[in-house]
This record gives sequence, structure tokens and C-alpha cells, in this order.
Amino acid sequence: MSAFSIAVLLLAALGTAGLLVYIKFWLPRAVEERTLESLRAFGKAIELRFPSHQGLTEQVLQLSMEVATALKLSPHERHLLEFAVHLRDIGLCAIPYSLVNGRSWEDWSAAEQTTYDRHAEISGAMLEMVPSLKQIAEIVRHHHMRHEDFPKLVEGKFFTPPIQSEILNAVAAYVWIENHQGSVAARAAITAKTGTEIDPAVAEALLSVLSFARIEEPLRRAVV
Amino acid sequence: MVAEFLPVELPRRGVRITFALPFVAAVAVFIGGFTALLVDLLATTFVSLLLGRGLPKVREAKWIAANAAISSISAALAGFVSTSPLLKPGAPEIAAILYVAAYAAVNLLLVAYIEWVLTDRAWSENTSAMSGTALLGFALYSAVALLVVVMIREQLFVPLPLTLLPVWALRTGLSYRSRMDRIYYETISALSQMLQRAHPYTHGHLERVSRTAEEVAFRLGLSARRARLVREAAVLHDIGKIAVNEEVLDKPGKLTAEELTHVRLHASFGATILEPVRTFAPIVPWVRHHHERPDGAGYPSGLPDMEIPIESKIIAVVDAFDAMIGDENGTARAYRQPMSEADALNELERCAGTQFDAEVVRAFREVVTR
Repeated sequence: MSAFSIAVLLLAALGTAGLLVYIKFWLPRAVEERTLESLRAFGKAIELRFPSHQGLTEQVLQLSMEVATALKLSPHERHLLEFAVHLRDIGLCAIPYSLVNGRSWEDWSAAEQTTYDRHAEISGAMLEMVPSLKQIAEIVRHHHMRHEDFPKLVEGKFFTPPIQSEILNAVAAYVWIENHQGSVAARAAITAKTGTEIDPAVAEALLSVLSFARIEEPLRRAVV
Repeated sequence: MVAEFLPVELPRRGVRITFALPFVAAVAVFIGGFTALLVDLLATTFVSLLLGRGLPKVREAKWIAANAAISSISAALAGFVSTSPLLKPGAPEIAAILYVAAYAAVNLLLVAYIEWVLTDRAWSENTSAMSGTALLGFALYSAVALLVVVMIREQLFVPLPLTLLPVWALRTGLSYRSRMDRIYYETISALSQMLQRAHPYTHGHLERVSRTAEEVAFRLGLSARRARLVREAAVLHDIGKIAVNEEVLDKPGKLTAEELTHVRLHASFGATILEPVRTFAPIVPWVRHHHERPDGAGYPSGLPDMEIPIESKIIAVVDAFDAMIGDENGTARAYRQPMSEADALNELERCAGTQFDAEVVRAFREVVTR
């Protein structure tokens, strides 16, 4: 075998190894980063429109992931949940600016509350139109669901929202109340809604995560 | 055939890249150009038949015929080049690399030509958009072709299938790249949808502004890549209006000073929204400064003429014109009656040099009156 052939074979082996490392480690991370950057842009848009939502996403994200782990969701299910947390409120862009800014949600009329509640449906519809985000549309659409309303008969089949919707529903409610009325009121609200608005299994996991966090991390600033 | 079965589709272009070329080049070198042409034609047609299923019948037939024609022409010319009598006999490695180079160049030009005919996209845009991928592909195809030729010459037939490994790695790499591009375009599309939900009048406006802005950019001599970025920036130029109260934005009559300040925040809000996405880095300043004026009286920074990006100036002119004439139904925004195109052009020219860049206004007039 000529020296040239040996050199070509060696270089090919090295080049292939380099390519494999590049596609196995570098590129998947780059894709993940690009996706997260996009999610941050959506989140930033909503936070600028409704400054009262500032920081909520980070809190919901941290707590949701802990509940998902407690409920033994697979890495893929957790991944979808993470995306859904970031995108759950993009439909808020269709909610009137003056409804949320400068007014307390406690002063809303029933009609205004209904308008606000439509954001989950709008978020779902928007995600439905983006091919790579389609798979989380269902999670987002039901993130303010009432647990007792399901399963529902849809086109002859019983439909139950994904478990991630149940988690988002419980965690978003907890974080919202906790930010406005404190953690004691938030825990009491979760307990009161269990079985009706919130899935009992998710409520149990959430309360257990919160109790554990209290013992292990008393200064868990992101949530408490 | 295995390599041919693993195509990667480039987002928004509908162009599929396949990976059989290094092996076809080896056939050309060791058996002959005509055999290579037949092999390539057979592989392309067979795989096109399988991958084209699901398309409407007429489209499927046209698609298969186009693929077969491109493949035959590329292989014929590549065979001719690689068997040139000018080549030193007994140098199969050089012949293989020449074959890959000729095939890739002819293929790229033919695909760009077909895109030009079918999509009315500028010729330079087609070639420049594909040249990056093509150059990378050419380098890797040449390397694999060289490897295949060396292995055949050294009679290393058993490990020959291992050459599919770099092909597979290249294919996987390209498919990741394609996913990244898709994320980029889907982010633009989702953000623009958000804006349209918040301010329904932007529906149609963004599409018109982006299309015309790209044409004006071309007219001003910007490169195809930069003109494409201008189009994308134009889609997103008002994204900051998501954070602006629609009641203020659509208010008929004069705005108070406080309301004006609130509305003007949209330019910097837009930049703040886009900043987290690294691929938007070039367009962030264009979005931030699309309300700057050559006389320095613009916002948010009051930049002097020299410091305003040309891309922001283009967006400013096209945006203002579209806002003045209203949408295709002749309806304008709540605060203003729609103008005729001639009046709007006159208004732009009246403000050239103060509110708008005079050169951009001239290029814009050429685009809309041609």
C-alpha cells in the first residue's frame, strides 16, 4: 500500500471520528440552544406586554420540572413540558392590553375573566400552525383545564388532556396565587381545588415537592 | 442506492440533497463515464419514484423527470470533464475529484435555474443561498470520493461499506443544520403571528413591507444574503408593538405626549424581544433604528444620518408608504385616511433628506413604478 493511500485512509478515519463527535455532541446542543433562544423571545414578548407576568415563567418552569420528576415522567415528556411552560401564554398577545395592565384580576367582570381564559385556546391554535411546535399545542390548549371536566367525549372518543397539562394547570395556579397572596394561601387553594380543578395525583406531587423543598431548601427563592 | 435513499430537504426551498455522488464518481473513474451516468440515472429515478409518492400525479411525473434530467446532464458533463485527455493518465484520485466538482457545479446551476424559473426568485439569491451548503458538500463529497477510489485501488473491498459512515455523518449534520434553519423561520413566523393577534391591522402589512423592502435592498445593490435579511427584518420590524396598548395605537386623533412616548417604545421593545435569539443578531439594530431620521430627529436614539443602518432606512420608507396607502381594500389605520400611491410617493419625496433617506426613496420609487 502506498504512503499516499495510508495517509488518505488515516485522514478519513480521523475526519470521520471528528464528524461523528460534531454530530453526536455539538449539533444536538446547538439545536437545543436555538430552540431555547426562540422560546425566550416569545417569553420576552409576553413579559413586555404584561409586566405583571415578569419572572412567572422561571418559577413555573422550576416547579413543573420538579413535579414532573416526582411523577416519573420520561425525559421526552419532561422536554415537551419545558417547551409548553415557555409557550403556554403566547396567546396572551390577543388579550386586550388594558385588561391586564393597571387593573387587578380581582376586579374583572365574568366576561373579562372569560376573555382572559381564552388565551390557552389561542396559544394552542397558534402553536398548531408551527410544525415543530405542533406536538405541544394540546398541552398548552388545556393548561387551564378543570380536571373534573375530563375525560370528555370528542368525536366519538374519550379525550383526556396530556399529563403535562395537568401539571401546568396546578403549578401555574399555585405560582399565581403564591405571588399575589403568599404560599400559605396558595397551598390551601391547591388543596381546595384537588379533585375538581386539579388532578389529585398532580396535587399530591406538587404539595410533596413543596414540603420537601421547605425542609431541604428553606431559601428556595424561585418559588417560595 | 443506500446513500441516495437518505436525502435531506433544505427548509423553504424544497431542494433535496442526496449522497450518492462519491460512489458514482468511483464508478466513472473505474468503469466509465457512461456507466456512471446510467447508475446515477437509475438510482435517481428509482428513489424519486419512491420518494415522490403522495404528490399529485402530474407533479410527481414532472418532479421525477426534472430529477432524472438534472442527474443525466450533470453526470454527462462530469464524465466528459473527468475523462479529459488533458488529465494525466493513471491519476484516478484527481479524476474522481474533478468528476465531483463538475457534477456538483452543473447540478447547483441547474437547480438554481429551475428555482429561478419556477419561483421568480432572483438568480443570484438562488446561487448564493445554496453556495454555502454546496461548498461544504463538495469538500466532503470529494473527500469521500477520494477515499472510495483509494480503497478500490488498494482492493480493500470488504471495508468499502464503511465509507457510508462519513456519508451518514454528513447527512445527519446537514439534517441538524436544516432543523436549525427551520427553527429560525418558524420563530419569525410565530412572532409575526403573535403581532398579528395583538394588532390585526398588521396582517398583510408585514408581508407587503417585507417583499418590497427586499426588492429595494436589491435595487440599492445589497447582496442577496443581506436583502434576504432585510426581508426577514421587515417581517419583524414592528414586533415591539406587541407590548404597546392597542387602544393607543389605534386611537383616532392626536396622541398625548405620554401616549406618544408609549408608542415610540416599540422600536426598542422590538430589539429587546429579538435579542435572546443569536441568529437575529444582524437584524436587531435594524429593528431598533427603523424610526431614526437622517435629520437626527428620529427615535429611539436620535442617531445622525451616517450612523443609521441602510437596512433601517429601507424599512422606514417601505413601512411609511404602506401605512399611507392602507391595505389592498383601501382601508388605512384608524388614525389616518388612505392616500393614493401617487400622493404617498410625493409625500415620501417631500420628506426625503429629513425624515427619509433620499437615495432609498429614489430606489423605492423605481421599484414601485417599474
